[in-house]
Amino acid sequence: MTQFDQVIHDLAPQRFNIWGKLWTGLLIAVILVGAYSYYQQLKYGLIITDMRDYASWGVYISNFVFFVAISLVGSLITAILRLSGVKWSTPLTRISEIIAVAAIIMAGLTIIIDMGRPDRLFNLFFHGRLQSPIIWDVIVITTYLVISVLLLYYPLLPDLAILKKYFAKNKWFTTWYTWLSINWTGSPIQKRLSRRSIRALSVMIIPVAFSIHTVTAWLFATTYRPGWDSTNFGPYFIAGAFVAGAGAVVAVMYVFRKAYHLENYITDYHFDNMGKLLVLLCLVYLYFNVNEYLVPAYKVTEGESAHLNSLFFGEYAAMFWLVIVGGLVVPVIALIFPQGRKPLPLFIIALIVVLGAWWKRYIIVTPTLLHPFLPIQGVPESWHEYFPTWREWSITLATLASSLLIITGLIRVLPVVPIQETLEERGIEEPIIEELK
Amino acid sequence: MKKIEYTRIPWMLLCIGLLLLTSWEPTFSKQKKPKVRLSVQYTKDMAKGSFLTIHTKAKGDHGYHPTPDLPIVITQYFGDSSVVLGEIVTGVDGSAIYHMNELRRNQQDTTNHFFFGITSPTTDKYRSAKKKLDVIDVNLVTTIETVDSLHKAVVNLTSPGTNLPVEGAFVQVAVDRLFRPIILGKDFYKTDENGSIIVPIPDDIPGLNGNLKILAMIKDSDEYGNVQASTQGKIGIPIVENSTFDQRKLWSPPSKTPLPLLIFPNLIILGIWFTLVMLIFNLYKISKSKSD
Repeated sequence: MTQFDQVIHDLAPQRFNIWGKLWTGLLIAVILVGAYSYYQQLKYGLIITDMRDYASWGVYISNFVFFVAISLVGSLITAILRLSGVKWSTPLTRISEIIAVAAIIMAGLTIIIDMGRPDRLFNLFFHGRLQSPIIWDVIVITTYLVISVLLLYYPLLPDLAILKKYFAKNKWFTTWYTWLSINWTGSPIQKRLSRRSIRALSVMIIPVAFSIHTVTAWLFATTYRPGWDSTNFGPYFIAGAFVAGAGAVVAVMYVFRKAYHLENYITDYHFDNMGKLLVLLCLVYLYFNVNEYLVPAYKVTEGESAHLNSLFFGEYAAMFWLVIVGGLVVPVIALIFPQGRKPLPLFIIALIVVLGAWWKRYIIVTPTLLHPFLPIQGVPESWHEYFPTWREWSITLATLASSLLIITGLIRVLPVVPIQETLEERGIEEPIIEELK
Repeated sequence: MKKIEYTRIPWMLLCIGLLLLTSWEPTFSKQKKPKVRLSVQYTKDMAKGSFLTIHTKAKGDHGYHPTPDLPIVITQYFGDSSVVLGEIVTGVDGSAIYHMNELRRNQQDTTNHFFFGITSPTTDKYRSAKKKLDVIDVNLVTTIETVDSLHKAVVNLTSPGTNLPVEGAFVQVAVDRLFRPIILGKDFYKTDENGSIIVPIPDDIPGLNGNLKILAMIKDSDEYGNVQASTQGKIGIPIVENSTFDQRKLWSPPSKTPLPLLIFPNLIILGIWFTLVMLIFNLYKISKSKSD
């Protein structure tokens, strides 16, 4: 087998083994349970949730912010590292773009799930006010989705042309790859157009990615509430999003390296570098956390005091300190040591970081709503508290499972590691072009 | 001496344990269910009819809180007999309004007394509570009279059926406003032997198109409850609306978005989407350039 054949054989999509099929089945089962709960929500309304007048944003919005955060990784790995001339990130670009696409699709759907009347969604487009941050969010999410899909698709073109030949015996695959590869032959003009387009998209995705998370932060910061009334919220959200996204990439790359035996392509060196990157991102995010909590804690205004008390010492203290210490401080300490940046330890740390990132969004959204500047009065006792009902949990888990199913499905039909770029990096580009021609 | 049968000890211990277990009540079961506190107001609006406004609350961990979904039974008493008028369930704010469309009058009672019982039965969350209410039915009528360009609110209080004037009731006269009425003259006026009061209306009160709604109110009276009557007249200064509704402001409708906010973000959005369309068109060019 030639070097070229070996690379294609290693990186081409593979059939799922029993674990892959079980994993897919599990995700579908979780989605079905969530779909049933959502049917109940459509039928009876948001009364099936624990959201009421005060806790009007609950686990759905936390989940939405989490998805938006995860999606930011596309711009980090694909655009920022690519434009910075970082070569080691090449095998991770496909994974990060797939994660970004899956996350941004689910972010959009999660917002619809949070709507009491999703049938009125189109009113946002027909009657939306440009003065409202919600409309900014709708515009920027749609734009980011299109850019992410294009940034996933352009580098795929040469790979799809290669796979078309590789799966020549599989009629279904050949048809799809032929259609998707849009006559790619690797001609100079095609390469030039592709290179320019990828560069333009890489430049464009950075401000749009920053906008999407800044606008999401403004949904909170433009309201006058303890914990949200901050000019720091935009960069604070972006820093947190990079942490969540980097953690997600590490977790996914570990799983697919293991499942597809990609040790020669996603090496310990990649994990080591991602570990170092994660330390840097966690430290930046910790810095913003200090800003976010220290300044109001120093001033201790009445409204902020009740909110911070609930976070530091009250009903959310366990969750808060677990997220800060377990999800940020401990990973930084563990990843400083080279042993912590080995694949398995880094994978475990990345999972903790992602889990911490999810809960962090929960404690950004919920405690503030339960500590308004004007005290909660004249409502039933149960409205003073919020904890998602099992239906909310099942719908939320279904959205998480859906994003994982999109990732799993795309990985089943697309190469995890870019084939063409790997061939070019390894100096085995020429034979491929000859062969394709 | 009788020998102790040691084999029985475990059985004895088990029996003692069971006995203790069955006689022991967990702490939470001893906690009393909170009692519902009822407050009831009788209101007679001469235009809309009579109704009872019922507020309920109970003590919880965060102080007093409303008690939603609580059934309330309304009963009317006639001496020793009684009739259940109806049942109502409190809303999320713990309150309920019961409209009394058909009140039964006691034929023997010429004093127009109404006796009500408002009961909340014991539920799985709360203990029962009861409140009694005794009100006298009266009719309140208000009119506007203008003499020599001076406007006056004339209020008459009479007894239903007999139409006799009711003397000595305290009535407040006010101009209706969005949040709180503007009281005219003194806080309260006492009805004279004709059951009447007359209150001058200042001529400098603004109103939409000059319309003023004059209210006459008996408030929280032990005898009459709340009674309210109103009348309307074009006796105020017409309001000139000074609204920013039709201007381009942040709070305006989509058609009135401020121009800078309309122009610059749209230019950026159009710029980005034009580039995206060009990039999508590049895909078309790639598909057509395979032989180049």
